[in-house]
Amino acid sequence: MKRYSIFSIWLFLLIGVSIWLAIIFVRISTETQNYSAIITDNRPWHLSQLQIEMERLNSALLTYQHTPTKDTQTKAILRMELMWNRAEVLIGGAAGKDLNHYDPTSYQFIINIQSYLSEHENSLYRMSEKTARQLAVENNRWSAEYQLRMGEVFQRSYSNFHDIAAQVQDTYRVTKNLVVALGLVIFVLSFVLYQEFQRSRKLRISAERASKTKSQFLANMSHEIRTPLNGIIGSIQLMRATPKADDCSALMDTLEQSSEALLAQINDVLDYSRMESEKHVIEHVPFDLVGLARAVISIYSAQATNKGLDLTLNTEELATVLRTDNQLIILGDPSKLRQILLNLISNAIKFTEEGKISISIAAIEDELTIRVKDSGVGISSENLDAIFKPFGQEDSSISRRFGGSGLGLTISKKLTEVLNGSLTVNSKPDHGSTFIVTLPFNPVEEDVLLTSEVPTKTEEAIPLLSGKVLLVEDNAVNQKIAKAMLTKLGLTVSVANNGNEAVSAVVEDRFDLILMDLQMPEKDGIQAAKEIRAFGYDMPIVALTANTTIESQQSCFDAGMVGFISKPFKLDSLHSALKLHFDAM
Amino acid sequence: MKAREPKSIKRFCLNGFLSAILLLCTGIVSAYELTLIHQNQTHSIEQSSLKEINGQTLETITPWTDNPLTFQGISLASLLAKYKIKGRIAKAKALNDYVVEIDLQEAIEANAFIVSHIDNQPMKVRNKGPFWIIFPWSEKPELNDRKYQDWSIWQMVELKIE
Repeated sequence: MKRYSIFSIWLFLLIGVSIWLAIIFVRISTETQNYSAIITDNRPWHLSQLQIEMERLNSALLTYQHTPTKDTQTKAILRMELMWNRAEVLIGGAAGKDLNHYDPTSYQFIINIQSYLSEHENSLYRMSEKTARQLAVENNRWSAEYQLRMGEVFQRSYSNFHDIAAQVQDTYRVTKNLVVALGLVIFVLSFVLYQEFQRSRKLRISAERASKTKSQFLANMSHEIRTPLNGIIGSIQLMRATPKADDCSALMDTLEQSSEALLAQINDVLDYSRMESEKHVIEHVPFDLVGLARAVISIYSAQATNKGLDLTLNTEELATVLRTDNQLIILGDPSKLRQILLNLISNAIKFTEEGKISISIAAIEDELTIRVKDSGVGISSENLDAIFKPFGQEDSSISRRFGGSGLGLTISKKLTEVLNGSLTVNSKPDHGSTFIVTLPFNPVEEDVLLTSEVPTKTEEAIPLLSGKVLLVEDNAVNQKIAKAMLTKLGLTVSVANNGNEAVSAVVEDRFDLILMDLQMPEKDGIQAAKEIRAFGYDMPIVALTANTTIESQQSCFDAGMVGFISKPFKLDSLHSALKLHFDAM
Repeated sequence: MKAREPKSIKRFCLNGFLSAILLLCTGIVSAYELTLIHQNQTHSIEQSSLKEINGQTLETITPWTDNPLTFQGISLASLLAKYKIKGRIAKAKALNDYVVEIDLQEAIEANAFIVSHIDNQPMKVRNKGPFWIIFPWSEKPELNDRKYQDWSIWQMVELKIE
């Protein structure tokens, strides 16, 4: 509303100025016309009238002298009076002032004529033949001189008029140019202002939209983080209230699921923000695509079975390229592809209440296509584009019903683009959706020895390790958990609260391995590791941190650390990370 | 327009002197008349009798003279009313046969005046007599423009209403 009023004020101002200029323009033209009319008409006309009257008087006087009758005498008097009046008109009033100013000699000349007439008024009105003769002589003299004078006056007035006309023309032209230039400037200015106004309006609107989306996202995030946290805190309280003898495994399950949901949520957000900051390292390693797909499916098979969904992998279209051991070795980035598949399958399970989800892989020429087809709620056509945008869940009711950060599809689409592929969707409401990942197909012909990409989850008891470990950790809770886990792995644990304590502990005692937190008060993990290395100790130092960026990993290795375990960690991942170093010993 | 009377002895003496000159001249100068023509009627009004019809006076400056003058005569409206004449335009003719067309309605609205005397002295031809159409320029300075100046015909002897 406000911006429209500003714009209309501007418009009114513009119209007002234009009208004002137009009025000035018209007035100037009229003035010019008037002025030139005055110059051309009035003065010369009056001046020439006296000349005419003089000639007429001359002729009347001649007639009277030739035929001295009452009639010719009356006519001579009338002509004398008319000439007199003409002379008075030229020296009286505004015209007189004008003439006196413009041509004082002529003015004086006419004054003299008038004086003569006044002086001889009585005899002139009697108009004897003698008077007529004398007047004829005077009149002839006046006429001759006046004629000469008027010639000069007209010439001067003509050239004056010419100058004035040229001056007026110049003024007119300058004014016209000025008006045109002004109009142009106003036009350009309005145009620029309008553009600027539009641009800032767009910026403001998009900023408003972005901020709205971010608030919405924060609200979603808050909800998604609170939900599992509620599960965790609730379970812990229930466990505390449960008598020790009772079985807490059901509560433990809830605790674990909630924690994993929370971790997944945080991972999504981190993935998304990492992707936004455009830091992509693409791997090109050989891996088994079919095996990877199977592994991802196996992760979700339990969840699918629980919901009563049929989750299948279809590789029929790969028949020609599939190896005898049912593997399809390609060059690519397995971790990114796994993330894409994880997102798409979890999405499919989330939005499908009954029916089946089938994943099919096809390779045609140099294009690899992976389809994730579900029989779920589907997506309305107007929302098909929105679902790939950040926080673009179809509407907030969906996020309430199905949960999730609203980032999964955005991340997946971005990842496929990073891998030079694309992610598209075909969907109709109530007829399910098919997400199609298209990637370049780089099969590996030679037999490459592959290690299984997905660590197989074993239910077997974890074999014990033995050795002495220094745990450097400032947070008491994390100390407690890590110490308990390490003890469970069969290790002897000493605890240091910060980098300084760690360095003193290393000097005093001998350790097989150091687990080092990075962010600590007094002395951080990187600094402590550097000092320990500087003192010449060569036991492995493994970073233990919640900071998972590539940069921080790199700085760990630069400081002489040999491993990196990200928090939160599970018992088995801790075991597999440590096993490496204890085996090496 | 208020009636004016001689204000002082000085003025009176001047008038007397001028009257004497006039008396001297009347024997020689023929008396002028204003010929008022409307359709097939013709009225002749003597210069001396025009100001007697309503006894109206107008004091004003004119574009052609230097000081305010006191004119005697009759307003155009009164003159037409007296002879019960109505019309659209007036064609005024001067001694030298110069003719000007006047829009009657506009001229009457502007309070056009036909004057024959200045300070109760008949106007001579050399003073723009015998009859002169003037406008109350002192009262309405806006009338001092081309149109009204053109209509201000002097040495008028004939007024034809159409």
